[in-house]
Amino acid sequence: MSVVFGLLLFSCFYEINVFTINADNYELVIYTYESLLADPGYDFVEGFANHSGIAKEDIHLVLLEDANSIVTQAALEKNNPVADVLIGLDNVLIHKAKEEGILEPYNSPELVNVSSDLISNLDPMKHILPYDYGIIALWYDNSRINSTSNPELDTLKLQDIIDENLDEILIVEDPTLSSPGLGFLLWTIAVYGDPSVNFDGLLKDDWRNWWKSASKNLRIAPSWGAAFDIYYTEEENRPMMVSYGTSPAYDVCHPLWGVGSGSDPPSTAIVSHENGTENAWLQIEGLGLVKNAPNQANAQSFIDWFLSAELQDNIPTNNWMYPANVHANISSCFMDSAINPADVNILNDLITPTMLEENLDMWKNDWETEIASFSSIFLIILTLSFSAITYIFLRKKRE
Amino acid sequence: MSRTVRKETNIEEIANKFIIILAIIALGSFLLSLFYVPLIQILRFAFSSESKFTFAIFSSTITDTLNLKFIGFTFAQALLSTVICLFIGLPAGFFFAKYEFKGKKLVLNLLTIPFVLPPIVVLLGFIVSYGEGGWINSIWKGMTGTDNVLISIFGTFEGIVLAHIFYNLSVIIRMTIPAWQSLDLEQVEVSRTLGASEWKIFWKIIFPQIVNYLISSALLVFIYTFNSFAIVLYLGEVRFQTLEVRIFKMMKASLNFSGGASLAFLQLILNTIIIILYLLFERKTRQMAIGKERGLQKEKISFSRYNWKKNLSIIGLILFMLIIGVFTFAPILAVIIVSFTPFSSEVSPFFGYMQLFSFEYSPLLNNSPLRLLLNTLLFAFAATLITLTLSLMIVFVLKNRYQSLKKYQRSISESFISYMIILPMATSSITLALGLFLLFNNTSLYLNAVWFFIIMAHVLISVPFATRSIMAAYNRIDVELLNVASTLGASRLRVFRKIELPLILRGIIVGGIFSFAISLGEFGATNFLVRGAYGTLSIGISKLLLTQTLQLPATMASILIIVTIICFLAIQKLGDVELKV
Repeated sequence: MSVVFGLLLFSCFYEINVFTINADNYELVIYTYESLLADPGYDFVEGFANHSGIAKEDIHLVLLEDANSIVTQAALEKNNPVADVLIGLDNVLIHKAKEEGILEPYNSPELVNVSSDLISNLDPMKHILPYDYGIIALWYDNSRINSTSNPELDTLKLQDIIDENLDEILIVEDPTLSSPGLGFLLWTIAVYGDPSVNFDGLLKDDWRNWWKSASKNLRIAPSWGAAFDIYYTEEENRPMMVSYGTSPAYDVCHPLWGVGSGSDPPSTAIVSHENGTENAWLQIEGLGLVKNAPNQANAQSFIDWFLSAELQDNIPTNNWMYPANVHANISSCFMDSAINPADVNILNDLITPTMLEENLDMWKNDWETEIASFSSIFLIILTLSFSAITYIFLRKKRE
Repeated sequence: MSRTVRKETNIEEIANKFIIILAIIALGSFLLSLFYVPLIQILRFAFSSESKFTFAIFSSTITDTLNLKFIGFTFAQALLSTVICLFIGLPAGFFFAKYEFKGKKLVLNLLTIPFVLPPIVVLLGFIVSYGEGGWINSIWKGMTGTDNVLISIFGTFEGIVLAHIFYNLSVIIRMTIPAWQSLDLEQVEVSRTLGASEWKIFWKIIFPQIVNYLISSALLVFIYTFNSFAIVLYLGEVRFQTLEVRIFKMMKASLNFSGGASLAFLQLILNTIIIILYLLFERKTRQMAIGKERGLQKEKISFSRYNWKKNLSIIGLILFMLIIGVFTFAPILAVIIVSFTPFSSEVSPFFGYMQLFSFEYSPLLNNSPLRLLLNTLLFAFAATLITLTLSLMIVFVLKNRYQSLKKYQRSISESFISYMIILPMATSSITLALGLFLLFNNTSLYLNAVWFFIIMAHVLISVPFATRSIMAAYNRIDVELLNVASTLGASRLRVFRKIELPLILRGIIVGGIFSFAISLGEFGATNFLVRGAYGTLSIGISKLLLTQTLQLPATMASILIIVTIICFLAIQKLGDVELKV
């Protein structure tokens, strides 16, 4: 009995404790995804605390699974905003964020140092301000697959993934949940086109056909992190994943296990080679001010700081993307091993923002339809069992 | 003299009525505010747009090709899992009914453990042992010397079905044991002497006797697999989604509230039909079991020198049982072993257990592992207390036999309550959470104290279980005893305190442990509602499920396994309890 009483007492204290933590009023609440600036890690909360003089304990960082959850979470709290700043929305998610009306435009003074192309490609209205960018690419582990074993890799077309059975070793991310996953879906759409909306793309085909052929063998991970875990675990036999053009830099320039520039890179990123050009989808990531944010002034100064060179210097080798600020330092190691978006044909220009906004939900839905292989086995099981049940009933009646 | 007695009973009756009315009010307001009004909110999202009734949302949602595919899948996988479970479980049940051997009860309990474990733990065990890099596939690769895997569980139909069989097999085994035990063998003997073939005997004599047990256990497995969430969410990738997963994804990934509500409504209708069927057949089996003492002759396992055919069949059965045993028990063992296996050469075997006290994983888990453990225990503790209070009230109201002396009539409110508790039984955990979410997501209580709703969801899930367990104990009480007590002048409360309560105490304890165990591992509703720091161990495990460092999630899972097994053994100690809703 005393044990029960003790537990009760303890639980009371515990709950009080929970309440007091909850009653804390933070001076800044940030929502972002789990891997932001995480590897090897730059503590941007501490960085901003030092810069602004706000105590680190008063800045609350909430890490959500992926960029999609950031929008979802903020949309759910629309009427009672908790967060002040959202970090990690990209040029596709922006449409959903705008539709939900969760952001407020902010014209940061630091934007003078950001290329106007990036701003206009991400959001000319400045609900979201670009902080980094990079192309989506296929990333593979050289020790397990390379252009000697698979010569097609050097001039890879998306069609080769199917023809050369690369779909059996490829991991993609679920586009309904993950932003690189969605980037890759749009890549295939821009390359093959979509006859249902009279969009030719590069090849005047139908993107659905590609996914139909590939879907059986692909591995679909819920997030980039999950995909990386599968990629990294050799037993899984999946040495290729949808990632970024900057990913090889991670293996070369990482301060802990990077092999250093000059030696053979452990991994390679490639884009697709249709119509004689190197094609890729550009992802621009941005941060935005929440509408009716509880701590608006702090949020604005945080955004300014995030776009300033002080933080932006850390983007290449901690977030493994190109920094938006043109004055930010990029090491030569990074420059040498990452694919520079300026060197490839950017597919985003083919799909206009209006077209994207109008068709995105349909595209995601159609993607799911292609992936959800409704094999005839279901139908067989269903008909068999229903006929068995009717048979038994009929027999019973006769008896 | 007679007048005073009458007066006293009048006062008694009034007090009794008052207590019952109080209980009905408490129950009613609980169910109304946390179940029925949320349910109406779901209906509102499914059937109204701009505050006008419309059927368009519902019909367009359920005729959408993608949704139809997933509805078809939900049925198909549930049917297939159930049928395979039956085919394996029925002979295993026969084995346990027929043969006596040392440690039989222990073996049976071990086989049942997967069923009582939290789904996320089962999933982790399944991935560790049958995943691409899991034990079985590693052994296979070593044996064949190739890189091909034997089974692939991610994004495949067979992976999901296999996991469901693993999870639910014991339901069939345990529920068909009484079927075999209550078999009337005299009829079999008679027909055999009359020259009937073995096949005919099975179909004409044996099958009709066990068919109700078969159907009721099959329906139970069907309900569980039809409403499967965690397993399909992670193993199905995007290709396979049960209605439960589909609703969740619609709500969380595409913010399609009315679509999710429509599917939830459809699922509720289907579940209610299945549950009513189940209750029907379950009652039939109970009627059949009455008055059948002499059944299958129990035998010790023995080998005969002359009858090699019999020997072979016994060896076959034992081998079959061994395979089932390995299949069901290996994943659980694997989880515990992985929790002590360093994921890299730099960490100790106790890394996972030491991590419980560190904050290293806090950014990922939103809290330290220890706090997750505390949350889990506290939620379970609170949910159990509330569940027991409510269940006792329900039993008190439904079984108010004090009045049976004087032309007792079941009042409308009482029958109303008995119907009102069927619906929560048929409601999936995602639907429960969905209703709470749609109704309360903008209240400050939800924003600041989501733990309240998590506990309430756990309560709603466990109340039917606890109620049935207490009710079963109550039904064993001798009615005469109560009647005598009240004729001798004991008040209603006194009867309750002195006779009923002690006699149903065992049922209460069992019900309490049941709800504690349910709350401990609940995943679907918790995962739907959880915000910020109020995660539980199940949530923590799910976040780390696809990482390379399985040691920490395996540690958390091991803790859940140990606590659940203790609960389960405690229930077993207290008497034979059926694994039923």
